[in-house]
Order: sequence, then structure tokens, then C-alpha cells
Amino acid sequence: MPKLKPKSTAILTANHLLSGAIVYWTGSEWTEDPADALRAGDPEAHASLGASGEAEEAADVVVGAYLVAVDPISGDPLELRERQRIAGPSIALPVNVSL
Amino acid sequence: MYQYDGYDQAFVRARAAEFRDQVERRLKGQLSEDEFKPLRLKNGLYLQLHAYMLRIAVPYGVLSADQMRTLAHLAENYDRGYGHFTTRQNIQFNWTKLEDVPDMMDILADAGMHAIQTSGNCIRNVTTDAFAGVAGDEEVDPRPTAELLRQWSSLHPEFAYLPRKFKIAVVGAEDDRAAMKFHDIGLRVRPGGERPNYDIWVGGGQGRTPRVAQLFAEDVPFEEMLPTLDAMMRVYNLAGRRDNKYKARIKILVAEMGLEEYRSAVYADRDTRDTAQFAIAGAEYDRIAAHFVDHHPVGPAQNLRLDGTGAFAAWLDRNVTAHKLDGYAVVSISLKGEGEIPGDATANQMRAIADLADRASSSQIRVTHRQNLVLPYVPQAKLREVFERLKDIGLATGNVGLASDIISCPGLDYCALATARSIPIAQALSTVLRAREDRAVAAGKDPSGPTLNISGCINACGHHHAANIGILGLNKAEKESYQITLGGRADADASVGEILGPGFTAEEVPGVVERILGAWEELRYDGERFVDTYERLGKAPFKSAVYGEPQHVAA
Amino acid sequence: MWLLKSDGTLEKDADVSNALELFADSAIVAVPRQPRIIVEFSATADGRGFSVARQLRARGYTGTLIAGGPLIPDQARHAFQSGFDAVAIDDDRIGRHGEAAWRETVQRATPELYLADTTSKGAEAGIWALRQRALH
Repeated sequence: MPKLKPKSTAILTANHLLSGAIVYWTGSEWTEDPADALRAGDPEAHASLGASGEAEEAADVVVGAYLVAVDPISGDPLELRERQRIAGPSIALPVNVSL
Repeated sequence: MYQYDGYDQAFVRARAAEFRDQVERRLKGQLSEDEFKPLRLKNGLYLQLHAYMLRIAVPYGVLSADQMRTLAHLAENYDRGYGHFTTRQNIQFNWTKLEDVPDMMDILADAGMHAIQTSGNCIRNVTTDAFAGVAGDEEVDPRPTAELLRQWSSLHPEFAYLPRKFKIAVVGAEDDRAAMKFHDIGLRVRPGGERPNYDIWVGGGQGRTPRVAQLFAEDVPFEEMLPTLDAMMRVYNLAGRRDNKYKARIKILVAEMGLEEYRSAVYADRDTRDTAQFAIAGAEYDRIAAHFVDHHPVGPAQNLRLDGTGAFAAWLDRNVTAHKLDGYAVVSISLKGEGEIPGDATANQMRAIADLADRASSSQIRVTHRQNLVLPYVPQAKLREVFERLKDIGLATGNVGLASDIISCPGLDYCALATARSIPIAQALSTVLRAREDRAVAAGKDPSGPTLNISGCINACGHHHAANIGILGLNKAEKESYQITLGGRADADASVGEILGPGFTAEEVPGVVERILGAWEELRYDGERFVDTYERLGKAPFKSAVYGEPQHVAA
Repeated sequence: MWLLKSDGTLEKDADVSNALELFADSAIVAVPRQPRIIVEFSATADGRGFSVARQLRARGYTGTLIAGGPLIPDQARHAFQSGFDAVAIDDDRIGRHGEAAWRETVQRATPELYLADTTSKGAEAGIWALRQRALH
């Protein structure tokens, strides 16, 4: 995962252990809506978010928790991979029509 | 095909129960994620970019109609109604939930299926020629060997925590239809005495250090094959690098040790072993081989004159291959329709193919390493009926083996490791290439072209190194960039493609491929294949066509 | 230290201090004469120790072989089937995985293999052997 700059705005993301769903940390719980994610903008806040991630992993609620750098205004991730992860597949998924 | 007996059935059921227990212990916190991850991977369960993905084994690409229906059932009830056939002849579901997977494993076990060792640092699904047992040019059917190796490697206690994944392919014909030389170990089955002999190849692979396998030993008698593989695996397990995952495959060990020294180490180890214990494999081979003997009525079928008009003619020409039995044909079903996602099939398509296999292919289906399906036993008199039904379900594209028959990995639309998207590139290219192929057919010309494969990262799951035209998606400063390689091939004369030059944006790729094909058509001798033109002239004229550089500029 | 033995018993307060310590990452030059050897695995994901045990057995070592290091209950069958007599488990891992998991996982693991190695200390008979016995 990327190294955050001290002034980066970051959010905490992970996958829900049971369902695998992508989730974001609001500061008190996990949500599937990135708009509700708690944003951290300095090293102390980054560390605090990181600690929340570790605690939630240790409690076996989520797996693979990490911080994502986002644009401070739009909240969009700065990295291609993270933009794609939030957006979901860019292609039209196959539709199981009856034949 | 091979039918499970009570032992095989108990084996997969026990494995499913073991996985259920592992999931329960994970949820109770008795297994940490770090401890659980290798266990779930050895059962095919990944955490991908968006969700858990389950990869189910289709051993050496052989499926029964009922097994295909089981996959359709799983797609509909535990996923989003579709699945993705992979270059290792497996199928993966992209949207599974951890809590559902134990039930999915039970359903698979009921159908004589499993997800054993479809991931993880262990011996993976053994692959082979999708035309095994039906191809006219086959010397020895590779399937009994592949099944023997499946059984030997399944839950192998010693080789389950290897330095890295380990892929084995087996072929039995001169024409290599399984990219055997791009595997960690490749076996070429040859006629022997009572049982076959083997040429053993080692150290092939793709990824960031692509290598064509080297010949380890020639004409090894059946009795020595398993003891040799056993020692080959042990030397790799002990000496393979574990300090850097990009240098952990056996190809690096063989390159660093040298083939001679590796071979000596293998034989030294084999000499200490009680090889008599492997003798039982002979009787097992015979038992397994009996499952693959044809019981299809050979007469009174006669070879028909295969012709037609329009789309049916094109389909006959491209997707129907000669069978070793009179009166039969091998039908390839293209999962590469124009604008489609390579390798994807919906649950209803799977079910329709299963019905078709029951009606017209002795209930058998194959998965190819080029992400297509095969009906291996179609009576020639039923070809029209098969074509019409495939047309109804949107799978009658007559492009197998053409440039538009693109291999593509899932890329950044699904994969956690990808650096760029692959599928949209494949979709855009398929439109351009299908138009080109249609024009050729309309003009009475041969529509054949180069093989074209796309990977969304350097791990090369989309086999870009092994394609005549390879496309590799990279991340350059958080933008997708696509690098082109030319001259790779996966056949018996396997070679790794060469990088053409600087990369392109996604939008530029179709135009670039058209310029490459345009240059080839100008330069080729009548009927010359792309790889032969490339070998004759090198990359300069293609570079010039793509980048507009003068031809004398060195690469 | 606890010892999980290939017969399924779990021995508490086992003393393994008299065993010769071998590291799974160093090649075997000669077969040791000591009656007890503990092979230390360096990581859960590092399976070299299984091949070390197999090589020691293949070369005629008949003493007691113990697997040490950070193995998990699910790897115990791998150890026994590769030629180990026992797995050494520290208190921490007994606590975390649960005594029951250590006791039961071997029984719960898939009980058979297709080819049982002659150097195995596991309970498997080998499906190939069972089949051929049933046929003849």
C-alpha cells in the first residue's frame, strides 16, 4: 500500500470478513458508502485510523484494513487501483437472461 | 471420462468438511487471517479487489454435463449468475461470500468436484490438451496421466508449503495445445511399452521472468516418472528461493543452479528413496486409463461432407475440428463473441451447453486453456443442430483460433493484483478484429491472424508473453498504459515475445494493433503466418509501422 | 512445551531440551546419530521442514523426529505424513488454537491420501493401496 504524506487526506477501508464486502470506517462503525468515511488529514489522525483498523482486524470483523489517500475536496481516491475498487467493475457484467 | 469411486467421493467430502471446520475456527478467532489465508487459498478462495472469489478445479479441463449444471446452480444461487473460465482450465466465481463457501464445497463434492489446490503455494490443477482423447494427431491420451497426477498431488503432505505455486501440464501430441513449455513441469507423453514414456520439461513459466522450459529427461519409463517428479519437487521445496516471491518459482532455481546441477541433485535425492513404493501407480494408471477408453458407437456413422453457407460455413471452418473417430467432430464453443468478456458464461448458457452435451456430445464438455469450451464427441450429422442451438444462446461465433479469440485475464475490473484493466481492451479489440475477419471471409480470403493475449499486470495470467501479439497493462503515474510484445508463441516452438517499444493508452491500442496487422499483410508471403513473418523480418518493420520510425533504426 | 503425537495423544509438560536442534533451512549433510531431533520450521508458510523429515527418514534415520516452530493445527497431518513422530507446541499456541483443535484437527483432516509414503507416521493407508487390495 502507498505511503501517505503527512498532509494527505486518508480514509480507512477493509473487507468485511464474512461477506467480503468493501467497507469504510466512519469512526465508530463500518459502512459500504465511502462518502460516510471518516477523513484523517494529519499524521496523528492517520495513526489513529490505522489503530482502528488493526483493532477491527484483531476482533475478526474485517480483513485487510488499510488507509487510502483521497482528494481532500472530492473524497475520490488518488490512486487508479483505489478508484477502481470504489467504483466496481467498469464493464457491463453478464446478465443471466433466460434462453 | 473418469468417474469417482467411493474413495474419491469420500476424499472430496472429507475435504469439504475440513474446510467448514477451518472457516468455523476462523470465525471464532482460533485462526488468525495470516494462518487462515494459506488454508483458504488451498481451497481456491481469494479475497479479490471487490469480494471473495472462488476458483473451482476442472481437472485437466474435463467436465460432465451434470457437473456443468452444478456450476450453473452455484452461479445462480451463490454468485451473480455467471462464471469465468480461466487459462488453467478452471472456473471462478467473482462474488462469493465466505459464509457460503462451505455449502458450495459440499455441493461440489456431491458432483464429484472440488476446489483443492486451485491456489496457494502448492501443486495446482494439472492441465492438458482440451482435445485430449479425440484429436486425430494424438500419440497417447494424456488424461490418465493427468488424473494420476491429480490424485498423487492432492493434499500431498510434503509439497503443500512450497516456495511458490507449481503448475504441471501434460500433452500427448506433437501439436502442443496446452502451452506445456510455459509450465513449472511439462510432460510430453510418448508411446512406451505396456505404459507410456515421458519427456520431462522443467522451469517454464510466465510472470515477470518468462522462461521456456528446458528438457530435463527424455523417454523416462512410466515406472520412473513419479519417483522423478517426487525428487524434482523435493529439491525445489528445499532449495527454491523464499527470500523474494518474484524469484521463488522453479524457473529461477533451475536458472541459478544450472540444469545439470539441478538434475544431479534430483537424481541424488531419488537414489535415497524407496522407489518401490511408487510401483502401485502402475496398476492405478491402468485402472484410470480404462475410464478413458471410448465407448462411443463408431459405426454406422460416416464422414459427411462438411459444408454450408454464411455463418454456418464460417463456424464449420473455424470451430469444428477433425475427430479421431469416423463420423464425429470436435466442436469448439467460442466464449469470445464480439464485445463479450473472454471466458465468461452465464448460468443459463452453462445449462444450455450441458443439455447440448447430453444430446450431442456423450454428455462431455471440455474447458480450453484459451478460455473456450469444447463438445468433444459431436456426431457429424448433428452439427447443424448444435450450431443452431449455439446461435440461440449467443455462442455461435466462428472465430476459434483467429485473432479475435483473445485470451484475457480479469484485470483491474476484478483482480487485487492488477495494475490496469484487461477486459475493456479485449472488448474493444474484438470489435475491430471481428470486422476485419468478416471482411476477409467476405472477400474469399483466409481470416487467420496472430494469437492475441492480454494481461493486466506483469504476473501474466493473460499469457501475453506467449502470444504473437501480447498486450500488458501497466500503471504509469496512476494512468493505465499498455505495452505491446510481438513474436511470442505457446506451441511446440514456444518462445517469449519481445517488447515493441513505449506503451499506449487504452484508446490507442486498437489502432496500434490494426497498424501491426496492416504491416503484416503488406509484408507477408502468400499464406505466411504472423510468427513466420516476424521471425523472418524482426521487429523493425512493425516498430516503424507503429511508431513511424525509419526501418533502419535499431531496436 | 506440549507434544502432539502421531497417535493423537497430547502430552503436557514435555521436555524436548535433549533433542538435537536442526533448522529446516540448512541442508542435511549426514544423518545424525542422536535419538531425538527437533526440526525447527522458520515460518508457518515455509514447508522445508516437511522435506527435511522425509529426507532424514529416506536416509535411514529411525529415531524420534519432532516438528518445532510456528506450525498450526492444520499442519500436524502434514508433519506426521512427512515422517515426524510429534509436533512441539508452546503454551501460546495451545491457548490460541484451543487444546481441542490440536487434539481433533488431525482426526478431522481429510483422513486419506492417494499414495501413503513408506516413511509416513500418519494414520493413512493410501487409497491406491486400498483399492488394489480390494481388487485382488
